[in-house]
Amino acid sequence: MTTPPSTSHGTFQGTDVLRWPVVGLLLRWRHFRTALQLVLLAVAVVIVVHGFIGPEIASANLATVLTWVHYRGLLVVALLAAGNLFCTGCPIIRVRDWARRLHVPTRHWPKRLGGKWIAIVLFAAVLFTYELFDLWSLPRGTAYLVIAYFVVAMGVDLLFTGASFCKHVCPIGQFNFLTSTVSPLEVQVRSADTCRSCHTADCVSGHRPGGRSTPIVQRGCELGLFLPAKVGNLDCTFCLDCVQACPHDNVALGTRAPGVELADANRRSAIGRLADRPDLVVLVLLFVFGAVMNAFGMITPVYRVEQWLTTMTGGAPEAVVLGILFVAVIVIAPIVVVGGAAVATRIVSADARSPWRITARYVYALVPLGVCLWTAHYAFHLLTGALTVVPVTQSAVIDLMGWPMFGEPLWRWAGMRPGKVFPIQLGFAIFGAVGSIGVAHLISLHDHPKRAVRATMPWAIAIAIITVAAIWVLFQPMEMRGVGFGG
Amino acid sequence: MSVWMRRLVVAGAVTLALGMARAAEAHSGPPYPIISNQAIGNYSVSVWTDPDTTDDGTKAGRFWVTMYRKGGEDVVPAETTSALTLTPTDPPGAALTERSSLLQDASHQYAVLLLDHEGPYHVHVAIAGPLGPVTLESDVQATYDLRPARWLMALYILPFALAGFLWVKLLLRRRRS
Ligand code: SF4
Ligand code: SF4
Repeated sequence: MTTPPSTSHGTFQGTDVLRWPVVGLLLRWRHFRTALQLVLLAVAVVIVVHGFIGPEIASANLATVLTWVHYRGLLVVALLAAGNLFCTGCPIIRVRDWARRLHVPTRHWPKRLGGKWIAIVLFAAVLFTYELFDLWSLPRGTAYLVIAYFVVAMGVDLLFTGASFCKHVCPIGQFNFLTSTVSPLEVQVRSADTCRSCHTADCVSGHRPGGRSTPIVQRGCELGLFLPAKVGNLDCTFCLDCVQACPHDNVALGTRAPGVELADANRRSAIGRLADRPDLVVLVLLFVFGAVMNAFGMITPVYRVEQWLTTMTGGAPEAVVLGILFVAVIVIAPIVVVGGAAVATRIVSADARSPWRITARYVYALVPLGVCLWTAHYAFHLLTGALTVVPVTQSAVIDLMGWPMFGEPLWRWAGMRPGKVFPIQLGFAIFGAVGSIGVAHLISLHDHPKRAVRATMPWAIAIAIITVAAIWVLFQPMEMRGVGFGG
Repeated sequence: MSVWMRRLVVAGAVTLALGMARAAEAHSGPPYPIISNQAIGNYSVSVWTDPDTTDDGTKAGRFWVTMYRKGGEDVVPAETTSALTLTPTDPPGAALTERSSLLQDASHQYAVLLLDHEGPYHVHVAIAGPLGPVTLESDVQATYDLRPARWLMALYILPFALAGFLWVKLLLRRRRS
């Protein structure tokens, strides 16, 4: 058996961004996170205000344009280019920290609600309601969604300690955690030896300069990640609290091979072994097949399928028809494709594990493909609508001030032509598929060193099937959804 | 990052920026308004368009007409209709007329027309109904939204596939390190 894929267990050897001249200084600045949070809080306020007082046309309202065109697009760009920066700057946590000055929660998150199950249900619910109510076309609906997000997060985190909302409830957080497994940066220890001689573990328990009996001046990891045993980016919000808390300056924001953590079979701090986490397995499946479903919901043929289903069900309401579609794409398709790959791996590689155990090991190989399918979709909206923020802001200023302080709206400013974005989308799908096959092979090299290629083959076929389905979706004509001329 | 990789990234960024700048000159991407909240008669009217030209007979010149009762956001009576007439102006050509169909109510209507060549078109919007008839005028510049030819597509995709293989190489190398 070969050695396990190397992640952050050893001593860090890559480049530490925290040591870079300007960027490093900025990231290590104590108030960096607060500054980023305040910027995003201002954006959230703009979204809510314009959502309520701005026009109902989605393309002319900052609530819909900033949320569904810019936020989603920039989110995946940041995740792919660096890491989980949007969790770093999450404005909800800023407001929560202010609220916790008035009320300090004392309860721990209940064990029986552990894992990601609530977040999975919410993630599926968001995908479903997004399609059902055409959320992208509803400025007021989008504003209500943002408010609801703040309220629920506040409720959870004022009741329970730590980052309970981020870890167990937030669907965006889970999206970010999974996507950040292919980010090029990771929060990791500089020297394993320093940690071995450290007796305080401030990175997780908080920094008390005066010893155990003195108060904490810098909190440790709210997600319970103990740095020496932390593997990869899962559950890491990139808050950099551990950087501030470690008394030995032993935490790096280091470069690494994106996606290598997905093949790591080791036990991870606060997570355990990936293969022992059925909730994470389900989350990955929802993430990958949800990407296909979300893109499928944007194309013209989906209406024909919905009409056909409506006829077949004798005129069932839209929610039921959409529910059937969702079950087909995010429940039945994964069982057939992924289950089939697991059974095939069992046979061709003489693997004694059950198909479920094989699935629980290999399913993480699908993450790069899922990330790239989400990116292909969100990049479409970002690249075709990147400049719309200019005229929509000009128009919003006219709405608010009554005069064109920033000039008349330059409505023809939009972005790239959809036809030109198409090859980029296709490219991402292929990039993700190749990455996924690479991770699957990495798992095979670890689990089946003598039959690695054979063991990888069923997963390569499963990845090819999902990729072909996604590319077929990309080739279909787009319904002008995301444009939103709804009321 | 190696030197050639850095060059690749810079070249990609420049191409993207140039593409975006070019796109900003003409219309591209999502729809934009050609008439914005114009108060006329008893209506307040906006017309948004995505004027795509096609060669294969597919109707792709899209127009959204939103009209409210003047001075508010009250929906117009259900009998209200709107029709669009597009006339090519350079070179001049025959006018095309299309009656809009309702989206969720009479205040939100939609029409799609066949624009078979690029260039400027004059847009005439005729609204009729219990609140009275009105007409509005504007212009659009129709443009193609073509996907690249297949061979060019293969060329575009190549760097992504290449990057994918570099990624796999990196993964396998890290495993050994
Ligand atoms: S506080 Fe610093 S040195 Fe101590 S275990 Fe955490 S990262 Fe290592
Ligand atoms: S404190 Fe925890 S969540 Fe924050 S950066 Fe460090 S490891 Fe990640």
